[in-house]
Amino acid sequence: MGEIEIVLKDALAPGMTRLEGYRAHGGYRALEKAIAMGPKEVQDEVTRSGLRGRGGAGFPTGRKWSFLPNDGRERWLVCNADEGEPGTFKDRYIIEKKPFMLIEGITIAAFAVGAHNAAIYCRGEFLEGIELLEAAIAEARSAGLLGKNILGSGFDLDLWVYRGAGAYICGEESALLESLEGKRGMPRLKPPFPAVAGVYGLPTVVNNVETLATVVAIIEGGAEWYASMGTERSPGTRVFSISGQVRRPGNHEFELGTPLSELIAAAGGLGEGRTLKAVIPGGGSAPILTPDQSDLPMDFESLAKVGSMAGSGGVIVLDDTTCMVRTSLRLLQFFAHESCGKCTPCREGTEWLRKILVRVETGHGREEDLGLLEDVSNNINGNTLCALGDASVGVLLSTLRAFADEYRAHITGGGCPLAPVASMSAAAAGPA
Amino acid sequence: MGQVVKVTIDGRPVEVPEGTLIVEAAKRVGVDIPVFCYHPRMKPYGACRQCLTEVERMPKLQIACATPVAEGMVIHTNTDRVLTARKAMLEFTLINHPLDCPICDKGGECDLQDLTFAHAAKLSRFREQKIHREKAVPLGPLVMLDQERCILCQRCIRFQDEVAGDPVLVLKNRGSHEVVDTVEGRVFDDRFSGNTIEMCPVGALTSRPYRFVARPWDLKVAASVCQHCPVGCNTRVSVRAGDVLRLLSRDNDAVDRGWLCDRGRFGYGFVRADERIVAPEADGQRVSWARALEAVDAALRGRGADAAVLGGASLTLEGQYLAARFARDVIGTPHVDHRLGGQRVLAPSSPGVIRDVDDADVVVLMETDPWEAFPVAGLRLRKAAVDRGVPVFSLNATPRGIPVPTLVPLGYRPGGLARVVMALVASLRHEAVEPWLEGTGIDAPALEPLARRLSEPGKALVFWDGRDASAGAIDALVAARGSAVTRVIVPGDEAASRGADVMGLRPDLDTGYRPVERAGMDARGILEAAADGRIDTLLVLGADLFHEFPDPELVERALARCDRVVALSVMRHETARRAHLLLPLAPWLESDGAVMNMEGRVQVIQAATDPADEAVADWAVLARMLGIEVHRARDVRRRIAQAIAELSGDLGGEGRVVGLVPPPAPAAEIAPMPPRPQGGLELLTGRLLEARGIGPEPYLAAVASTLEVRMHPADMAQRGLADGQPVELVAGERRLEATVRPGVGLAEGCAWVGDGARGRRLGSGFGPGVRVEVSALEVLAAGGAR
Ligand SMILES: Cc1cc2nc3c(=O)[nH]c(=O)nc-3n(C[C@H](O)[C@H](O)[C@H](O)COP(=O)(O)O)c2cc1C
Ligand code: SF4
Ligand code: SF4
Ligand code: FES
Repeated sequence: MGEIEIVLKDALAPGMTRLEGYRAHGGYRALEKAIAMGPKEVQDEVTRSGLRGRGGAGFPTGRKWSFLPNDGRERWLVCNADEGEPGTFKDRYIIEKKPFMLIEGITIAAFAVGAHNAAIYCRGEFLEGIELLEAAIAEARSAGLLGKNILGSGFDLDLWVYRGAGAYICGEESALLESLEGKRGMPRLKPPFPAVAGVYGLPTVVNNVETLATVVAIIEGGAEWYASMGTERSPGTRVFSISGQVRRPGNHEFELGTPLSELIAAAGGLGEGRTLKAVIPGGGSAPILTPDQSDLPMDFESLAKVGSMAGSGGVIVLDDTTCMVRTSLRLLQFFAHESCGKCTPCREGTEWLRKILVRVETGHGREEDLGLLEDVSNNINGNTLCALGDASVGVLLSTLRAFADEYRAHITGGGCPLAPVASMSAAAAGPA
Repeated sequence: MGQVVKVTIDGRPVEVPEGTLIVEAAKRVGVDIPVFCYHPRMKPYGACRQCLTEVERMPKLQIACATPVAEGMVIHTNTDRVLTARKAMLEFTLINHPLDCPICDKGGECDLQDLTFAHAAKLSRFREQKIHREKAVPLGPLVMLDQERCILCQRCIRFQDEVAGDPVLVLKNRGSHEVVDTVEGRVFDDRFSGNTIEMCPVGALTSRPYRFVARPWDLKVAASVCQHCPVGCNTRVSVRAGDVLRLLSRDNDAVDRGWLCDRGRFGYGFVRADERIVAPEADGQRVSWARALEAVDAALRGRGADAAVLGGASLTLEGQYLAARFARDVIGTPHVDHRLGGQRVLAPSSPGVIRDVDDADVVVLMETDPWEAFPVAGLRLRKAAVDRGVPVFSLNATPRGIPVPTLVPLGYRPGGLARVVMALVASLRHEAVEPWLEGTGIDAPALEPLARRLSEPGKALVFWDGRDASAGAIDALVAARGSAVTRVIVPGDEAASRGADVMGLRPDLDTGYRPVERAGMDARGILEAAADGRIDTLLVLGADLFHEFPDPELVERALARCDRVVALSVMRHETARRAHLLLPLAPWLESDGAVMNMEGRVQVIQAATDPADEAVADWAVLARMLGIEVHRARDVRRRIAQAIAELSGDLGGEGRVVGLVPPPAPAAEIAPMPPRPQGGLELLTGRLLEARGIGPEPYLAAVASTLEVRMHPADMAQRGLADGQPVELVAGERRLEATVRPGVGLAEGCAWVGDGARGRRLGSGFGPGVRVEVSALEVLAAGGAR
């Protein structure tokens, strides 16, 4: 277990954003190999590797591909590059440093599932990434690596970049598909799942950037090699975005199952004289871990077992100077702002929670607010149309439990014991 | 589907078809699961989460509105968990709701209010500032939005998108700042807009005519049937102190599926309009009923063939029956005709019903536009096209386009329908098609997809406008399809044309389509005879001849020459103004009775209010004229049943279809197409919805359309005309100003004009087949003369 670069290999090598440079570092060997193997074998290889989706839910990728119905309809592959999860910036890194690896991964995946149309739905703010991707796609196309008859295989693939317009919810796959179709990005009722009715009602695979990049490594190195890393139920490696109160925030790739403390150390550890207070281990949606859990193996099953989740791989480290109420408030501010508004509990509940938290943080809390926060959170949790609702209360509910005294101190002490109240005026104003 | 599954709901076992939604299955055992966003006539949406229920072996609560039942499912709707969630969802819904129930139109009949009383906590835990928004946003001429009351269930948006096919409503902003709005650049003027008011579960969407007018508990409700077009949608009429204040739908699955169009929903202002006739009049003077009836009797009794009867297509069935009796037995004239607009056939020989849309394999529109002639049945057609992909071929029917994704518009020269249909017949018989198409402006390849569809087995449903020349061709088409089912519906020109036809208000057939000894003259013949002095007395039954007959000049000459014109009328329209004797009719909203719609369905209506002043139900007027004593419409119906057995007894909730058809008429010869006129365009016209029914309608003044001419893009280009440009139409001496737009499926060399914009008909100068010139209208320079 430990830091190891597979997806991030040669990420900083010069020329990696050009086809020549990428090829010089072994790029497109996997695609050649995949074409030689044939679609079915590629799909089997990915299934055997045990790869689980890196977008958030950790769904086995091979299985997802196998859900596409064999009914002769045209199929689509969509790469989810909307990366909006708080504390998550690994997809952006992959796009900016290794755009061709993503494109190669998309090509292999599309080949495996028989999709001739693929789109990268990219977070609109990734201006540089979008330019790089568009240039890379153009280069790949003129080199016969996209378009008609790729590498003489007879396989055709059209790929383009669709720029999002700044909505976190458009990372949720069905909202993403709505947006891709030119509609307002709001989640669809499921079932049917995208595999059955995705873009324009056609069978569609939606995979995360890192998932698709990883496919390249799996095909190149083989399923057995890949599965030899990580844990039994979380094989391989994953890129963690480590941020918060660490000395060197950044992306680091580790075998799954590496203890949390190693991740924090790799990011330079905590500041001078600081002690660990909490960690949000899987993006802003994941319930917090406490210092006693700092040796927890960072894999899907271990995190689920302790009531949190691996999520997006965004690890936010919080030290003793951090106010937990303010942390919850900051996240609720985000979720209330990003709630698409389609379903009632999320639309109304997140805003309600935000308002209560503003009061508590600014010293206007009431004794009954703590129970109310928990109750409202529980009424959202599990009752919403999509997972944003659940996500919005992950940190709040877990901090209410682990840091009840700190919340109470805000109420009895008339405000935040850790930060001056004045700086909260922005929070009190709420999202624009 | 098809398979039946057993499930248990709150301990009660029930068997329902597989795929039934929990919310619907629950209704079967009397369990009412609260909903906001779900609407039984639309697809599940899953937004409000009010319907959460517990399903055993599923860890999360499930939404009853979108979860289909499966064999053995055990469902609970009243466990603590469910009740907690239900209460929680209501609490969420209420936190930003203004609770201005005391001044809200919906108060007293509001789903949110009712569910709050039934399921919510007594006190809110919400102590924060509510979000404030706009209280009165006019979305369109008929619909007002209160953004604060809106609970964002999106029924309105989904209705426009999914049902009406005009996605004019959208959501703006996100999260708790979200509001409903119209799409940029549009106002909410879709012709089905009023349905959103009715389906809004709260008082967010209100009817502008009804806003702040009444409280629901002060209203009496009557069951009626709309008489503004021949669909006959079922309505609930709300009345307070004798005033009709609004119309709501009354779901009849066979007819309207719970929808109304705005023409119908807002078509009640005329009841109290100044143009109403409220007392009998003789030569412009108000007289007593006794005097009036004496005068009518003197004018008409025993006049025989010197008198004639016109109209009757908007009376009740009872009125139509008694009118036929009066014409034949009291006046003793064979000259009777309700078909003022030129329709010949109302009951086609292979009659269909509206429900045939549901399992039709192909639909053919022949010169009749669903959106204008039978709007709510058009929604059913659209659903068949969207859900089942049923192809809809439109033969010179929809030059403005309709939101039916499978529409295949086909255009040809005016007067060409019979030949086009015969070409289809020839194709079915494997004969040469081309001779039939000669000169029609459409060629065989264009017609081929329709011909191929018709050659396949499966049910074809034809909507046809019932004009003479094509009658034989339509019958030939039905015959040529052999064992494949072909059904034909003729939407009447007026709401009750079919009833007038069956009751015998036509020169050749009496009640129940019994042949008469000596056929009389048709409407045109009657008017020509009157203009020549061969007929000197006219009885006009509820019709404005200037509006319904295509040649107002002939009407003018006829009325000018007649000695006696007796009119029964609701409104003081042009014909009523010209009558010597005028009897005031109570419209259907003030009358009991029965009405027959375009499929021959007879439905019962209840008087919603007393007749205005001295007006009387049409059947009661005619009974007085006949000198017979009847007190109730039902007594007249009993008499009709002696002639038409299908009409006896209770008509049932969906009404009863009387499938009577007239004996076959000899097929008219199909003439060759006349040569194309030199230069200019040949005119096609189509009667608009706004020119149907009783009017003028004050509440609809704001949605009246402007005069529009549609042309083939090539013809526009040739004349240098751009979309939306003001143009001048010239036909001989006459001219009209209109806006030009490209037509959908119009043949080259043809121009189409909507007939009846702002309620005014075009008249004979701009009849079908007339040669017109279209040219850009010189616009007055700002401040200057032309
Ligand atoms: C509110 C919300 C936001 C999401 N945002 C993202 C995102 O930005 N990127 C992403 O890959 N997946 C996101 N997901 C997860 C996707 O719905 C989906 O599961 C994922 O793209 C599947 O890819 P994978 O199987 O490769 O993980 C989000 C989910 C939710 C509920
Ligand atoms: S949970 Fe939130 S983001 Fe998801 S559908 Fe509901 S309102 Fe939209
Ligand atoms: S206006 Fe009414 S129908 Fe439309 S979303 Fe709001 S509450 Fe629902
Ligand atoms: S009624 Fe089921 S979610 Fe709204």
